[in-house]
Amino acid sequence: MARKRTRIDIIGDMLLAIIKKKGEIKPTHLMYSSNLSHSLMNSYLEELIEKNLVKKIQRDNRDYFLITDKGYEFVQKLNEMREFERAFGL
Amino acid sequence: MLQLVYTPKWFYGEDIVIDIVSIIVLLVIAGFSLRYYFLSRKRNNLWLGLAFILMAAGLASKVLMNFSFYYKMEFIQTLGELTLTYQVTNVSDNLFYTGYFLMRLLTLLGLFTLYAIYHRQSWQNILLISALIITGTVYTQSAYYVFHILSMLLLLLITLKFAGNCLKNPCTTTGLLAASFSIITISEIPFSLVALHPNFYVAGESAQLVGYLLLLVAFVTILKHGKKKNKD
Repeated sequence: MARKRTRIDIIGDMLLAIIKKKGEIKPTHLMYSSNLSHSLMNSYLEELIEKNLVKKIQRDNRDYFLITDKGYEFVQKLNEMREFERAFGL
Repeated sequence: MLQLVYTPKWFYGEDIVIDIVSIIVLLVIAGFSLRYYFLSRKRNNLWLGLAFILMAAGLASKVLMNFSFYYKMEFIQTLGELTLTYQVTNVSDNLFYTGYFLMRLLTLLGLFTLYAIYHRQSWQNILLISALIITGTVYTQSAYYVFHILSMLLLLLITLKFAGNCLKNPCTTTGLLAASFSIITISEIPFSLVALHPNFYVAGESAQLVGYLLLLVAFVTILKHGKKKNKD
């Protein structure tokens, strides 16, 4: 059975989902890609926007979420840390 | 004074440089692990960071011990006054024994902490083993080889874990990590035999340097792989 995701794992999954959609994603796609409920996704998004890892834009009356440069750097750090965890068997 | 250092004269100072390189490698990795802990709050990263810090502190104590031993004679010759010479010897002797005690204690505690990450221990076991390490360190002052044998045993168990991880997740980083710890483990063998010939000490230090440099290469490769994943 897969272990429960930590907070940082969820944030990482959300940012990766946005990167996979070429840096821009609709809320529904983000919810399904990161496997979260709507309310949980919104609570995490608030934090991500507050920390300037993600920004919200409106286009054609639709909301989109974009990953910022800081968000890309964060994902890079996260990948390094996951690789570290994997190498050390943690 | 009981001679506990068997370094050939030509190697004086070289081993200090090797130990400083090893300390830097350990602290770099410890810093990274602790940075990850503050971000993710994953306890294993905290313990890994602390284990490496303890091992680095053990090596730093060894540097202190060797430094006080190598540079004691030169200091005595420069001074010349009998009373002053005795006082200098007394101070550097205390430094030597303190360094020697701390080196063994901190290294063993660091290795045990690293071991305990992969083999969960109850708090009773941790208390008992820590007490055994402290007692063993205090009462085996002259039997230096006991420390090296215990270190080798702990390192062997840790290396087996890394080797198992390498088989489970075969890639460059896990391989390099297993290889580096294998070499560090092997370096304890010549250290246990220094009483036979001083060149064993040189062999041990050389193997230790190779092991820690390989550990650094493993760490740099981990960072490179992490960056590469991002580009993918």
